[in-house]
This record gives sequence, structure tokens and C-alpha cells, in this order.
Amino acid sequence: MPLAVVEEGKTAVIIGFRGGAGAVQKLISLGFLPGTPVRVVRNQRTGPLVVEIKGTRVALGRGLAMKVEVRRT
Amino acid sequence: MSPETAQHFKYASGGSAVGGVLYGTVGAMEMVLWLGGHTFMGLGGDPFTVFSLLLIAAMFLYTPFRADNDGYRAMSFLLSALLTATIIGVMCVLIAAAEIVDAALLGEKYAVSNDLLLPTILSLVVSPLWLFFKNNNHKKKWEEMGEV
Amino acid sequence: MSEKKRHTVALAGNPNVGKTVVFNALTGARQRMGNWPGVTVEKKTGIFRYRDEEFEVVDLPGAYSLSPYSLDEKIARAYIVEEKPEVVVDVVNAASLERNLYLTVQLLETGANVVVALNMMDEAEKKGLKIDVERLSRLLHVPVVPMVATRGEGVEALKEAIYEEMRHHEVHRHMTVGYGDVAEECIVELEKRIEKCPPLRDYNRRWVAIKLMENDTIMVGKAKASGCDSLLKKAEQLRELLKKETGTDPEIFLADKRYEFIDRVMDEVVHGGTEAWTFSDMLDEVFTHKIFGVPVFLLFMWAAFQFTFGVAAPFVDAIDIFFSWLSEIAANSISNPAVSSLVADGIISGVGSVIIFLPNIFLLFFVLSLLEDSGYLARAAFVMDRFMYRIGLQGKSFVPLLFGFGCNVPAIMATRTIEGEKDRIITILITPLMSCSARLPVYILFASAFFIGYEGTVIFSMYIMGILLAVLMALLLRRFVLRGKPAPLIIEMPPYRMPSLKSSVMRMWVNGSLFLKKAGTVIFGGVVIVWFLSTYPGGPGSDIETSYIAVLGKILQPLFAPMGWDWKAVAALMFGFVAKEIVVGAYGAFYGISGAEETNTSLQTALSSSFTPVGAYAYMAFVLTYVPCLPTIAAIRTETNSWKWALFAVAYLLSLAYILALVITFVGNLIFHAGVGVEL
Repeated sequence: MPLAVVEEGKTAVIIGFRGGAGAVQKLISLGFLPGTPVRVVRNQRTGPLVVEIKGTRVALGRGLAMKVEVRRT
Repeated sequence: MSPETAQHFKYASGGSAVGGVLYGTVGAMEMVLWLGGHTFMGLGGDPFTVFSLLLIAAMFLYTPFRADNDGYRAMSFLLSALLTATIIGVMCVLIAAAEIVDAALLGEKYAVSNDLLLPTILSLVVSPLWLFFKNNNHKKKWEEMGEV
Repeated sequence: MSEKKRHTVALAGNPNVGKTVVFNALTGARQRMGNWPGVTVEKKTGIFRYRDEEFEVVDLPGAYSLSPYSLDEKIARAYIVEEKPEVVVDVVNAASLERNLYLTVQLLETGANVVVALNMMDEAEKKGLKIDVERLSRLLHVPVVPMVATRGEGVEALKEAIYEEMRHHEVHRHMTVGYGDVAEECIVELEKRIEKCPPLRDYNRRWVAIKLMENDTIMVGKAKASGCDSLLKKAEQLRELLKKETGTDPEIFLADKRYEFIDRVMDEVVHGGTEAWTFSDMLDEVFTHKIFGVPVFLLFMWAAFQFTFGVAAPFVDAIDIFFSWLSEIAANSISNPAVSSLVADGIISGVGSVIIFLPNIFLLFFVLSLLEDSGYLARAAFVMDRFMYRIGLQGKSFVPLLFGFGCNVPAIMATRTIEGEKDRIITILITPLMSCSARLPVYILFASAFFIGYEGTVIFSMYIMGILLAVLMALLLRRFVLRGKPAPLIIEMPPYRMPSLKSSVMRMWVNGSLFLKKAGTVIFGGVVIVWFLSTYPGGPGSDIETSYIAVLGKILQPLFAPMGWDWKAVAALMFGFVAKEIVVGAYGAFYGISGAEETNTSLQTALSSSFTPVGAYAYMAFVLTYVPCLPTIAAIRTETNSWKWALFAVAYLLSLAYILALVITFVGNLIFHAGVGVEL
């Protein structure tokens, strides 16, 4: 499922990406890699999300979050 | 929730209630003055003051009354309210100081702008709550709340 | 006598790791600011001396990695591999070690001489983290210096480490990540081929090989440009091979391996850490809250403005008094009327109009700096992103636009934080519609003259109009001129920090001085020209009706006849081109009222007979929109690096203003049945 649909407070693990080379690279350097656990801190149905990954909080746009595939844990 | 933590909730809720009632009352009064166009003891109500007071009151009051839910959430609102109140208070002091200097420069008599002083005074009243929570004992206990 | 060579030190690191604080701690006041060639990214350099050697420190833009995807990373990477500084200091946030090490590992791969500045040890401690610094240093094969730069701790040790690293100029046997057998074989294979491609021999071979395996656009481009086709073909083959063997894209595979290495390092080096909510987490609960987030943001922004204008007031008044006094003295002590007028009304007045901007501008920059350093700005971008996206902008556009209400110039300078180029340009282009404080005197003047009892409402309507126009223009520009979607928001939200006063003051100073230098000269020149045009050809003391500017006003007046404006109104507008502050005073001059301010009742009376209320409202709207003042135009030019956009801004704003004024006139007259003010 895309990261964008994971609820607040839940954790997931990243599986992969869909498209968009440039932004994906930025995600990678921020730690978004297959196998990395991620926790959703803020997800308010519209607008950007806040997730916690590798010890830091990152805000990312919904469109981008739709491109990140995760598995719920 | 451990009895210690419960004890702390009592204090947190109490503090929030104090802050909430204080800011809420004064804010409501200012709003009435502003909307009605009246003055009272030099207070005329201005939108900025009304907004800040009511918002801070809302933060104080939001979760602490549901303190049994989740320790961190209650503390979040209390602390955010305190921080916001402090920031606004400091800012008001600086503006008031600037106004005094400005009036002196222009040779005008400085009329104390009560609406500015209000948030300041309230912040001073409420800041002992800061000390209460910053105090080591309590700080450690609050960090322990993660085990709730 | 040994030749004193200046040693180059590059400062690299993620954003939000205190790199600037480290930079300031190393170089103190000996800094210079400029731009990286060809771009609007800030470049800071500074100098420090240690043990009789001189070091030049270059502050590289913050970057999370050395990929070729963002401008900041490209600049940082280019500097490191092309300019080959003697030492690269990697500033690392000890509390986010896992993520920061990604860049460290990439820096090591380039073959640079790295010194790790392990900063923010205090934050790590707050999180309950214990870091084995020695172990880390051994695993990475580089010196690691623990620091708390904001307290000055570790700065001397860092200087020592830099010095030592500079002296031991040996080629390090660098520790780099091992990518597994298959990948390593590919890398070695490529390294051999690189020998045959001379331009690429300039760089660390292994690093080049790794980049080729990643299909790095910059490296591939270089190879192509050098005609090393066989190398490229081989790289392509090997990439396919690796992809088949591992089942993943080579770029992702290699990144994964780096993180594996980092995980192992973390396991050995870092212990502890609590899951408890930090103070920062608690604040975020409220500040990014679905319901509370926006009101809190609005409160802080409103407070920022109250603060800026409130505290600036005494300074502005003091400056005003001083320059008036100075001008009087000049006028009285110089006998030659022409020179006296030039000095008093031209030069002194010109300098005065520049300096009087400064308190507001400096304070705006100060507040902006506080917001950024405290970490709140990232939250602001998050909170506003949802709304901004709907009008085709990003969250980061909001704060600059907001600051435009204070003064457009710092607002435009603040757009540097916006990443997408088109997003930035659109933001810059609509900033002038944010009614800056300089336009207020004009509004007050007209509102007091024509809309007694409704002044506040009328003025407020100007601000709202500006906002609506800005939204409209954003949508139009996005649709027709700068197509595409806004860049996706992706921003790290650092833990909240108590902003350092010293750092904010320094930033305020640097940015403010920049404004002074650039805008200052422009305004000054403009005011002198305006003085000239309004004093001659009659000379000082002559009737202003005979001046060049009056002539200009009369010539252009017919264009504005449909709105019912007379030549004085038109001529006054021209002053606004230089700086909106001087419009009221100039207008007064046309009526023979010197030194007029917006509260001047005789001016108000004089005006009320020259306009109809509808015409007056149209005039106010025109002033809201028509052109940005000269310093703003200069700022647009600087930030977009071209005249094209600056001129475009002037053109579209002028047209928009004219159309707006016409529309208001017609609609207004229809509603109020008032005749057209001046006969055509």
C-alpha cells in the first residue's frame, strides 16, 4: 500500500518506489530505503504527512507519499 | 498509569485549569469590549490580544481535562500553551518598551497600552507553572511517562 | 622564509546540523558572502589562523548526499571533487547520526580528506544517546571531533584536527563501504577501464566507478563528453549484470549497502536512546495539529509583525527627526540656493529615505532568522502546504509572501529557501501584490479624505484585494506562463531549538547590509533624480507646477482620464516608482504643502475636491498594484538572475493595475451613479 494511506501512529516498512527519479533520490538520501521502518506521525487525509524515519522527522507531500510503497507492521 | 504519574496528572490538570480559566476569562472580556466598542479601565480590546488570549486559553483547556487518556498529549497542550504565552508576553514587553521610547522621542505622553500589558501580566502569573515543570524532580517523572 | 599558503577547508554536512554555527565559530567576523557562480545560492567563505597557518573555510550548501539531483548537492559535490580542498569537514548531528552518516560515507568515497565534526552532542545527550567517539573514528578511519558548537565546545579541537589532517597530506587508505562480491568485481573492472579515459583520471578511480555503476548523470555526461564510449558501454553492461544478480536497481542496491554499513556502525557505536516523547515531540503535537496548527501559525505570524513594527517605530521616528533636522541645517547654512536644495532636499533626503527603511528591514530579517533557527519554519511550511498547493504553490512560499506585507524586498530575498525554480519565480512575481507597509500612508491619506468613519474597513479591503489578486495571478501564471505542478514538499523537521540570539543578530546584520548596499544605492539615486525632476527647470523655490515632473504628469494624464484623475495624481504616482514612502510627501508638494504627511488635514481637504470617492478608491487600488518600487525590482532581478522576470513583473503589474482601476471606476460609477469626474 502507499505510505499516504497509513494511519497516524502506525508503523510500516518500506518496500519500494513508483516512478519519479529526482524526488525519489531525495527520499533515499533522507533514509527512505526498502527495508527501513517508518512511523507515521501525522496523516490528516489531505495535505502533507509527517513521518519519523531513521530517528528524524520528515514532512512530505501527499503526492510523494503515494509513490512510496510500504507494508504495514 | 502508576500512582506517581497519576499524581502528576493532577498537577498538570490543575495547572492547565488555572491557565485556561485565566486566559479564557480575560480573553472573553476583551472580546466583548472589542466587539461592543466599549472601554473598561483603559482596556479597549484589540483583535490581536483577543485572538492570542483565546487561543492560548484553548490550548490550556483542550486535553488536560481528559488527562486519563494519554499522558503525553495532555502535557503537550500544557507546555505549548506555556511556551506560546511566554513568547507573546516577552514580545509585549519589548513592544511596550519601544512605545515608551517612541513617545519620549516625539514628546508625547505615553499612554499605557493596557491591551499590550495584559498578555504580559498573564504570562508572568502563569510562568511559575514553567518552573514547576522544569524543576528536576518533575522533569524526570515526566520523562518517565513514556512507560505509561 | 616559508611561503604562507592558504589552506582550503570545505565545510559540508546535512542541513540543520549547526554547520553555520561551526562556520561562525571557526571564522568569527572574518567572513565574506557571495554567490556560487551562475546561481543564486549563497556562498560563504571565511578565514582562520591556527598555529601560524592560514585556513580558508568554504561553507558548502547543506546536502543529504552527493547525488546529482538538487542544486545544493551539485554545488557541494562539484566543489569537493573539482576544487579538491585540502580538508573536508563533515559536520554531523550526533542526535541523527544514522541519517547523517550517509553523506559521510559518500564523502569518504570521493577520496577527500575528511574530518568529522560530531556536533550537537548536547542534543544526543538529551535523547539519552551514548556515542563511542573513538570507536566511530576507528571504524571510519577518520578523526572525529565531538562538539557543541553553540557553546563553543570542541572548536579548538576541531582546528587542531584540521591542522593535523592538512599536515598529514598522505593519501589515506580510506575506509569505504564494501558492496559485496559481485558489485566489487564490477567496480574493479570499471576502475581498470577508467585508466583509458584521461579526463576521468582526475578523480578518485573507485569513486568514478561507483558513480558509473549508479548511472550518475553528471559522471556519465563527463564520460560522454570525453568520448569514452567503450567505458560507458562497459558500465552499461555491468549495471545490467548487477541488476540481474541482485534483483534490484543498482542505484538502490548500492544505497542499501551503504545503509547496511551504517547500521553496523551504529550498532557498535551508539547505545541508549529513549522512546519517550521529547519536548520537541510535544510541541509538534500541537503545532502540527489538525485544528490547532493553523491558528497557532497565524498567531505567531501576527506576533512577528506586531513585534517588527512596534519595535521599529522608535528607531524610525528617531531617524526621521534626525534627517529632518540635518536637512534644515543644510538648507539654512548653504547660501547658494541650487546647491542648498540639492544637498537638503536631494542628497540628505535621499540618504534619509534609505536609512528610514532599515529598522523595519533589519527586524524582519531578525524575526525570519529566529523562526528558521528555532525550527518552526519547517512546521509553518507543513501547516500551509495543503492550502498553498491548491493555488499552485508550495508551503514554503507562504512565509516570504507574508513578510511581503512588511516590505517586499526582504520577502523576495527570503524566497531562496524555495526549491522548485518555477515555484520560486511565481512566488517572487506575486510578492509585490502583498501590500507593503510603505503603501499604508497613501491608503491612510485617501481613506481619511474620502471614507470618514470607514477608514479601517477601506484600508483592510486593500489588503484583501492584494491577496485575492495574488491568488488569481498565481493560478494564471501557473496555468499559462510557468506550467507544471508545485514541487512536492519534502522537508526535514529538526527538533525545536532555542535560537541563538548571536546567530540571529549576525544573520540580520549580513542580510540587512546586503539590502542596504543593493537597494540603498538604487533608492538614493532615484530620490536624487526625482528631486531634480521636481525642482527644475524652474530651480529651487519655483512653482512645482513648472517642473519636469509636473510636465510629465500633464502629458500622461489623458491616459488616466477615464478614472477621473488629474495630473497631480498621475505625477505623484511617478514618485511611487522609486519608493512608495515618498508619494504622500510629493503629493503634498504639488499643493504647496511641504513636508506633508498622511494625517495632514489641508492635504486631505485639497484632495477631496480633486477626486470622486469612486475615483479615489480606484486610485488606492492602483497604488496597491501598479509597480514594485525600485529596490523591489532590483531584488527581483537579483533573485531571478535575469532582467526578463523583473521587466515582466513591471509590465504585468502595470497592466493589471490599469485594468483594475478602470473596472473599479466603471463598476463604482454604475453603482453610485456618480458622473465621471473629469471631462474627457
